[in-house]
Amino acid sequence: MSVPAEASIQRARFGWIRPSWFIAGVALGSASLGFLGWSIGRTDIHPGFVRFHSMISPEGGYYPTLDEMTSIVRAKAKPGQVLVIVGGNSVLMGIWQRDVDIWSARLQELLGDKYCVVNFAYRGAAPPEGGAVVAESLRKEFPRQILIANDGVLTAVAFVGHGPYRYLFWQAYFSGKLESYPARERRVAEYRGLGPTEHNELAESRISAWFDQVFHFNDLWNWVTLRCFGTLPSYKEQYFPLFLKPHGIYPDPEVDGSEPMYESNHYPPSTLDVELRIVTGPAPYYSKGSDGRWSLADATHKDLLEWNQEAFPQELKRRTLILVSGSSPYYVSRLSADSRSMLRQATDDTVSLFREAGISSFDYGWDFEPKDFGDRTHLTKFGGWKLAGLVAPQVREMAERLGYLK
Amino acid sequence: MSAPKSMRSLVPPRSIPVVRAALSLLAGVAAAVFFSYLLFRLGLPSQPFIYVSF
Repeated sequence: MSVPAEASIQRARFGWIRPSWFIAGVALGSASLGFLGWSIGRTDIHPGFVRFHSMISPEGGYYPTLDEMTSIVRAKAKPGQVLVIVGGNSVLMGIWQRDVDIWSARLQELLGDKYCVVNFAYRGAAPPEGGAVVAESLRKEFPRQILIANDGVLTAVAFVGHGPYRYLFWQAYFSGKLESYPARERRVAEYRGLGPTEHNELAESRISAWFDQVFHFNDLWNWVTLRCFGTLPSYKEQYFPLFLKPHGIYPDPEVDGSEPMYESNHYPPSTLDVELRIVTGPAPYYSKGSDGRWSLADATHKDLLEWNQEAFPQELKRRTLILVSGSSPYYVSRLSADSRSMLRQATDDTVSLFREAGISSFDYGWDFEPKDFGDRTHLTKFGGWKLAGLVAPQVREMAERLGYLK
Repeated sequence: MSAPKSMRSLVPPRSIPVVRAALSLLAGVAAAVFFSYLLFRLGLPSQPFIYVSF
């Protein structure tokens, strides 16, 4: 009986595949894709960027990466300009405002060439998410920066967890782009210790960030999704082959909410009760004293202050402006005098809590008109332009105070 | 009806090792593309983000 040669054994095991060439192909492919992803991450793939509208944001199954966002900043900001990053939620994203009318473009006009305004607000994002992560990541490259974010009345600003935009925080955190400070490390450790779900989520985020630092697959496949073909169903196209359309072909879908045709969408009677309950949401945390003054519960005050103090590193706090978003007068005017005075107090307290934590803050909306709002909280272009008019002097004052204009 | 010719008979015998090497290399590159996409997909949330008014 003859002994089969080594080459024959290999052929039998791998068929027509030559293992050494196959492994070389895997190595060559991985290196090429990694390089491609790396270079895409250093290129602005959103020329003429205005905002992350629904088809290029997590709503549309598209998760902009940190490198993608920092590349937008690098492409837009000229040397010598003060960088103004807009974070926050859908209000600052400009829902009910077309991209040409968006409030952040008005803010840019008002501030002039000395400033560069970039809108990284996302629907439902908390102040320390989205734009705040980008601002912190760029703190050394763009030290003359101001972050604008917004929040609702008496809302806690958690930054640890796995909400839709936390992926950006973990990307930055695990790739070492965020500042390490004790409160943050403590919250991350607490989150890890909450249970096996949180522990595993964190481990997945860490492993994903490590792999991405080597293979740059997020930037690569985002670019493919944007320019070549979609790989996942989205809210717009749920079925094959329609979801294969590249996301870059979709125009910004936001409409001009001040158009008469959208009037019936603004304040539908069917949601009046729900909206009024949201507006009076802070009520359980308040008690009315014999002098008629509303007081926030001590425990709530303590908790909110602690969260505000921990949400941003010290260096970023000085550069941050938080806008406390008010509700449309359509709803506020329907409140009883008592509820209105409670809401006024809650709004003032929210601003004070941010200021106490070392963050600039002011509220807006109390003197706005119903036409300035597209619904309870989002602004039409008219409200957006009013907001820009309120924010611009504050930004200039902060830039002056921080010594950016010397 | 004549039987279909095998691919092997279409390639000159001396070129077979080169073709195999090239195909193996291409298969490796395809595996790398698949691996890259797999990593991308694994990093995405399993539940879509559905926006509810905030």
